[in-house]
This record gives sequence, structure tokens and C-alpha cells, in this order.
Amino acid sequence: MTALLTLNEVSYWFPGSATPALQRASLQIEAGQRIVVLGRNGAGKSTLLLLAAGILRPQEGTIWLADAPVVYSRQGLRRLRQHVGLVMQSPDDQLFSASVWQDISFGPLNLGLSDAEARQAVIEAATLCDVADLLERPTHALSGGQKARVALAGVLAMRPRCLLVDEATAGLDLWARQQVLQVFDRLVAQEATVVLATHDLTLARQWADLVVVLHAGHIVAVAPPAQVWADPALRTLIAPSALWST
Amino acid sequence: MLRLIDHYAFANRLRTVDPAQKVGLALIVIVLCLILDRPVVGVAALLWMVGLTVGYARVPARVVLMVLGVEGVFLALSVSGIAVSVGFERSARALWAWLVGPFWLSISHESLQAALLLLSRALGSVAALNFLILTTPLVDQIELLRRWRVSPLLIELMMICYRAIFVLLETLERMVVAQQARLGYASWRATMRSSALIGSQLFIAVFQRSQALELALTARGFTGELRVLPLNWTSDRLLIGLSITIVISLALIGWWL
Repeated sequence: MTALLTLNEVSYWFPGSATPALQRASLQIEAGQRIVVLGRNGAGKSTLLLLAAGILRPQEGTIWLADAPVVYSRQGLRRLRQHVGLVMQSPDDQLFSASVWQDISFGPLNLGLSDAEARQAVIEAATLCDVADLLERPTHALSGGQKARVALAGVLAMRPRCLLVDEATAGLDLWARQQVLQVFDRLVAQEATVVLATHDLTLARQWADLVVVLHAGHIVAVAPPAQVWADPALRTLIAPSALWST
Repeated sequence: MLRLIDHYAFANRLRTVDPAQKVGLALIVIVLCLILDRPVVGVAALLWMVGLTVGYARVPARVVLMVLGVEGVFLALSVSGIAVSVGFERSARALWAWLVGPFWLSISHESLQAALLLLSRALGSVAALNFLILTTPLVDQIELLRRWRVSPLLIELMMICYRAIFVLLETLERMVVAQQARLGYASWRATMRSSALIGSQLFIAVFQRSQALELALTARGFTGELRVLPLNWTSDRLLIGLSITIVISLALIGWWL
């Protein structure tokens, strides 16, 4: 089976930095998976997602979308973004438009959909994320949980097959987090893949099919949660030992 | 005040009415106030527009009066300069005069009339503008400009600025709370220092946020143009009828009185 997205020995250095933010990272993302990326701050989680979304361009290695390498031209990136969506950590960084309706419509129109198709995509994404009743509202008048779901709808309106989520559940209350996770589950049920970078160990254990452990820019493990949890060496890379005993 | 106006602009009964209807009415009323040049026209426009905002758009009267009150204070301060003349001698035409130190403050019949005319015209125009801003969110006004084929660059700037105002307000409030929690405003000296720090930090916050926004837009396929779907509006026949009545009544008042 061909993977949805493949990172092949990918490395990236931020300008002016001697140490790589990500080094020789390889990962296969397949359809219908729940993947959680764990690691300390600065381990390279956000860099991994930015590379996979085509925002950053690897300085070494290649990224493959299905069976073709990602081409960093306007056309190539449009193709990538049709399939791979990125939800940022803070919804305030993503919501730029004055109204929810307009903000969600931005992505579909950029994909070249007609107004009628974009309208349909907005309504579908808003329904999926349970924000259909907020479409008329100004983005600044939303609560934190609503902003997170609207930001998610803005990406899902592009109907990606792979959704990359950078700590988007951080700072949400348990109800809002549950709503966001339900949206992810609906996506996975439709054979989409969700890759979620987080520090939430409970979420990783209960929700993920696969855990990617990052440490100092290296992918040190890609395994089911039970396997990661059973490995003391991996556990020390993810969280302090006191947290594992509770 | 900004948040209050924005809240009612989204929560009034005329929210979904085509902004062209509301902008059209407001502009015609302003033009009539200016060209008819009668205090009674300004007063009539004020009453009509406040009545329409409160009675038809269902914006609470206290909100309309509060917004109008703030503007009224500024207007009253401005026209007082026209009503009161200052000199070393008492004006022969003064209705009232007061000696303040070496100066005479005088109010004449003509200056009072000119001040009242200006105040009434300004209040009538301001009430028309208040009707617009309290019933029409800025997002609709921007969309109307798009429909009128105003430069896309200008529209995109307006859209981002509008959003950025609220993001910056939230950032500013968080910064002020963080400073207050550490006695940042405990003395005059600390207040000055904290205010200066906020000024510089806000600039950095804006820069960081603009970088994050650029990343997010890129991830959603941004290629240089912020294209979004237009909003859906309705036409309000009663508002059209009321608008015609208001315009005719103002014209008749200006002509007859």
C-alpha cells in the first residue's frame, strides 16, 4: 500500500542555527491513522509538521505525497495543500477574517473551487466541526473553544486527507477538547489521517494508533502507545519519571 | 466603546439587511443636514435616526444615547469656541458677558445662532452615522466596498486591520493584567515605565503575530490575494419605505421652516 505522505531522511536547519531542528527524519503516514507526536519543547514537533505541510522546505531528504515527490512550485504546493492541512497552535494566528463564514471560505477559494462549491465546502466543514450556528458571527467574538473549532473548519473546508494539528487542543477545557477530538474521530472514520503534536500523555495513550517520539530533532520511535509506554528509555525522553507513576 | 458598538452592529434587527440600504440612507441624511442649513433639519434628522436605531433596529436606547452623548460632549466643546468670543473689551452686541481676569467672554445673538446651527447639523449627521455603525458591522461595510469595486489591496488592509484591532486589544489587556499583578501601576513612575514597556512589547507582539498569520495563510494556499466568499443579505421593504419618508420629511422641513 502506498503511504499518504512519506518523509524520507528529512533534515532542516533554521537560519543562523548550527544544530538542525530536525535531522534525518523518516516517517510514513498512511490513510485512516491517528498519530500523536510527542517530545519536549524544541524536540522538533512543529518543524516536522511545517515540513510535512510544505511550509518549510527540507534542506536534505525528500517528502513524497503518495507516489510522487513534493514539488515546491505554486502548482506543486497547491496539490500538496489539497491533501495535507495544517492547524496552528493558536487559533488567533489562523483566523484573519472578520467573520467566521469568510474565514472558512478562504482555503476552498484558494484551491480554485467555484463560489458554489466553496459555499458547499464551508457548510460541510462548519457542520463537521459543529460551528454551523456561528457562521454569521465575528471571529473576535468567539470563545477559545469556538475559535479552535472554527480554525479547524477553515482547514477541513479544503478537505485534506491528512490533517496536521500543532497542539491545537492545548488550553482548551475538557468539553472543548472532547469536541475537537470527536471531529478528529469523524475524519479518521472517513479514512483521513490526523497527526497531532501534543504534550498530553493521556490523550496520546487513549487516542493514538501510533506514537512518534521526537528527541533533539531526531525521530527516536514510531510505535503503538502500549509499546512506547512499556519502554523506560523512551518514557524518560517524553516526560519526567514522576508523571509516569501517576 | 469599540466592543460595545461592534456587539450591537452584529446583534441588531437590521443585521442581515443589505448594507447598501443603510449606507444610502445615512449618506442622504448627512447630505440633507449639510445642504438644507437649518437647525430644525438637524434636530429632525437626530430624532428620526435615533428613533430608527432604537425603534426599528432595536438597539437599546441607553447604548444609542451613550454613544451620542460621548460625541455630543466633543461637539459641544468644539462649538463653544464659536459661541463664545474672547476680547479685552466687552462686545457691544453681547447678550451675556463675563469678565475673567483681563478678558471679556461674550456671547452674542449671532454667535449663539451659528453655534446652534453647527451643533444641530453635526448632531443630525452624527446620528445618521451612528445608525450606520450600530446596525452595520464593519465586515459588511468592507464587503460593500468590494461590491463597489474599491481596490482589493485597500479592502484586504481594512479586513486585516479590523481583525488586528481586536487581537491587539486582547494582547494589550493581557499585558496590562500581567503588569498590574507585579505592581506595574503602583506609582506614577511605575505607570510611566510600564506604559513605555507595553508600547515596545506590543510592537514585537504585532510582528510575531504577523509572521504566524503569514504561516497560517500559506498553509491554506495563500498566493497573494485574500479571497473570501461574499455574505448573504436581505432587502427590507419597510426600511426602504421609512427611508423615503425620512428623506421627504427632512426636505419638507428644510423647505418650509
